[in-house]
Amino acid sequence: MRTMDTLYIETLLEKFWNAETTDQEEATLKEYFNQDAVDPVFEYAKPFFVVMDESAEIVPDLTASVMHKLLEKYYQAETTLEEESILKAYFTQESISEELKPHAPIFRSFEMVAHVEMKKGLSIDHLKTKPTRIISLTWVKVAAAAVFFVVGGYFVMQHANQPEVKTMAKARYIEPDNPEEALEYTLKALAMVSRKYKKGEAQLLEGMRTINEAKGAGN
Amino acid sequence: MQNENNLFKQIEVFKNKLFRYALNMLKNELDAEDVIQELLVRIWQRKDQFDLIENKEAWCMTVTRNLCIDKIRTRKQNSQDISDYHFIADHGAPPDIITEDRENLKIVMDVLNSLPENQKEIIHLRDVEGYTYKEIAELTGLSEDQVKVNLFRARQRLKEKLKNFKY
Amino acid sequence: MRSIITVLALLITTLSCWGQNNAIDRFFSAYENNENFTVVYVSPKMFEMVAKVTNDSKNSDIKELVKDIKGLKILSTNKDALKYYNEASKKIPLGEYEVLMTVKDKGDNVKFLTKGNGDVVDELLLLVGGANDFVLMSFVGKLDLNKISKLANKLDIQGSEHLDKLKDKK
Repeated sequence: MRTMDTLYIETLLEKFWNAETTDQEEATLKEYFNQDAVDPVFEYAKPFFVVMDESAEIVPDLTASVMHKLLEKYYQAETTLEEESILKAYFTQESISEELKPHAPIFRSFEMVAHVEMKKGLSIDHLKTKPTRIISLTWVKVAAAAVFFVVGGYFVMQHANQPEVKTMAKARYIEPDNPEEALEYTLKALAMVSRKYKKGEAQLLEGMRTINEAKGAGN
Repeated sequence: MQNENNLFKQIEVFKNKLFRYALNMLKNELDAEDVIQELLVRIWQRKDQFDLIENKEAWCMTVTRNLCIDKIRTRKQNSQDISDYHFIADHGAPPDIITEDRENLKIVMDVLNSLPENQKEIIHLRDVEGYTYKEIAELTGLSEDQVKVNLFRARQRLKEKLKNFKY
Repeated sequence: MRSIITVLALLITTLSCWGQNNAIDRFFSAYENNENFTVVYVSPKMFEMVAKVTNDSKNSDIKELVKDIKGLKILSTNKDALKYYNEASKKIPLGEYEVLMTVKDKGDNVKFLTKGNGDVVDELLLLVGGANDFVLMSFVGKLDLNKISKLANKLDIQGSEHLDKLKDKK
């Protein structure tokens, strides 16, 4: 007879949950769970394998023991999305095992939140939204231009007279004072523009390719 | 040329997710609607490029998130909390909702609202919307491990409150 | 009559230019007092000198690229990149600039905003922010984007992705 070490049982259980065990292996599990020294980590699985006594009053609740195990994993943040949906489905139906009932409100509440819907339709509320483009301002511009001509000129002059070193600024302020350095900064800046631009072009092309393929597939 | 209806039809399928996400962050129905409105304007402004976005849901979730953060920063205080349990119970529950569920929802929402923003956001994305760790990580800018840790903490907090539930 | 229209048209053009530069300048100056930011500024005067220097250079590609640039301003920070990206996206007057393209690049949002038509633009704003640094670049002057896009291959420029080299320079 094989040694029923913990690792082996674990492997068998894993196969059992996946419905991959042979009759032989299931018999082994049954044998293990009907002896006295069941490892506490496997306790949850016991109801699946204990020999049911015809006269027994309490029928083991197999679903409950699975949920119990899943809950433990859930609180440890170790459940998969699939397992979480099993928990949700179990706790939102009405026949929940007594001992698991305390956990139900969590899943029932999430389910309620998940049903909240936006009642408002999807359309831009043009009354509330400020227009982004201003239409036909030609004459306003003409008038403003006259004002600008005077005022603007004044500011330009002022701006030109400002000293180049800004003593108040706390940001790190760099202004190259020779053309070589200025060129270096410019080229580095252009290189960044270049790389991002190429990336963008590639993404656009990729997008168009996908669309064309989709169109082609539709024909 | 796209018209508005055709353009927005593309987000119809997940608009409620966007709305719930905004609601979760802003705790205010009107603010959440404002944010969705702003999102629509943004999509409209980029209507020619919108088709090129591969994962529109992820893009919209990210924009919604950013708009919510902006909203939180600019609004005066945590205005009225109308998104809490009453609102949700009225909007999300079946009509024959039982009293216990309604009361328990209040307890759960109180726990969630007392969590740090990160944890609250992550448990919502995972347990309400069913996003993968990877998707949540991309959206929140955290690593998958950080997402897991935050989720673990949030769920532990809920576990601590089990004894308060009514059933 | 014709001359009046010409003068008015000229004035209107100048007016709109003034307005644009102002909006961007305001944006820049809003962060000039923030110690987390680095500002790089190359003045029109300096570009005149750059043009003179590159005129003698054998590298005609570079000469072509920079000869029509009139001004460059860069604003960058490594803090709260996404926040500043969103803020900038909001403040830039979208009615005046055209969004040429938006790009996702390794967790960064990238936005190209331009003034002018076709591949040769009169003004270019590059906005980057997300996972890494926040960068806003403003170029004034004629820029040929097609030529620029070929630049990366021609020049071996290292470290400019995050402008690290640039910041440590001085």
